[in-house]
Amino acid sequence: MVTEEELAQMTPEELAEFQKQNCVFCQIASGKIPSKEVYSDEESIAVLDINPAAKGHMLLMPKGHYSVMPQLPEHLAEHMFMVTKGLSQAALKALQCKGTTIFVANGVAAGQKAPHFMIHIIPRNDGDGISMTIPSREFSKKDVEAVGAVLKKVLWRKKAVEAEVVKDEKTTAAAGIKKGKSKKAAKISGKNRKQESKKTGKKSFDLDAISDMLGK
Amino acid sequence: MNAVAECDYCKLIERGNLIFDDKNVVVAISPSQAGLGHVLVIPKEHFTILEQIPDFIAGHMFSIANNISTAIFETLRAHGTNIIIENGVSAGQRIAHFAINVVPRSENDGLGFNWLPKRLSDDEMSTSELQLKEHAKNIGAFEKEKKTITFDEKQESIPDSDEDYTLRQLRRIP
Repeated sequence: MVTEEELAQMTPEELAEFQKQNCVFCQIASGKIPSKEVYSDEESIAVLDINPAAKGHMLLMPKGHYSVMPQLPEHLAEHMFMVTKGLSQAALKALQCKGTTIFVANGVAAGQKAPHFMIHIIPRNDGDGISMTIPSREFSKKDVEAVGAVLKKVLWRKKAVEAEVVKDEKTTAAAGIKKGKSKKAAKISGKNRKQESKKTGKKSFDLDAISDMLGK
Repeated sequence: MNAVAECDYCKLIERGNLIFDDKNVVVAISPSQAGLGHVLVIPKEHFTILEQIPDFIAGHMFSIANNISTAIFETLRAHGTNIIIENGVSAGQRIAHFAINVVPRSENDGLGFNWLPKRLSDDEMSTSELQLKEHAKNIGAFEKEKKTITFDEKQESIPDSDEDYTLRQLRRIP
């Protein structure tokens, strides 16, 4: 067993490795802990939940260790949701259920129980007694609009940064082909990437804070 | 056509006042707020359930939901987020237009999306495993967006065939 003192002395990298080694879902993904596996590919695996809300309740998770959704690389998020679509379809066909609830909890406050990102796919039927209804609450119109405005700003800024990166990569790649100076181009794009990481440096810090919130 | 004309989310998209939109997807503040900052990620085209949505749009929608979730963490000081999809009337879907709900969460906000675990026999677990496995076999070969030739690509392809180009020019002379 590791004492709290030892934990406190670990570097962030060691801590991440420790978390990974002690993650039940990493061990399920690697087959060290037996599970009822429904689907698997290079990057993700789906197993039956041992505490299911309904028969056929599946958990789709990345094989790599990501504690919360914001840590997922974009391509993996896209890939996993395409698999989710396939699994939902499989549930409709195989179990003859009438619908599916797809659910993700990010953070302890949202009901996340283990620090490994996963998507729940729950087969649903009329009157199955599962209460996952999304309530409707009253907020002042002013507050709702203000929050909307803030989110709008952040999302468009993200999009602008992404577009800039794509544009940079395109121009450097084109320069490489035309002038045959691919080495220089690679250097430039490397530089851009560095600048990019500086720009998003704050973000990765925030993500660490989020995973800290999830506990050990 | 009628279904589209009467769809609340299609109307919502038409009205504008969106948080974000691109070619296939929009993000809007949810008309009913489960928590302050509850947003919806909706496909522009009228699809009722997830199974109807082309793979690349579905994937893109989830990556946008991920961005919003991050934005909510960063700006609203939420302690967490829930992503909830009611796929089908039996799952509680009330509007016949697919949507991903992103709900900001904070501790003791009184929103509990929990379920009581069901006790299933080993037999029941094993049969559902086999049945699902059989149908999940076909997952893969995801549908990609058809690429349209952009102006840039056209321009670059011309200098590659210098001779052909001059020949073509000659043919054009009346």
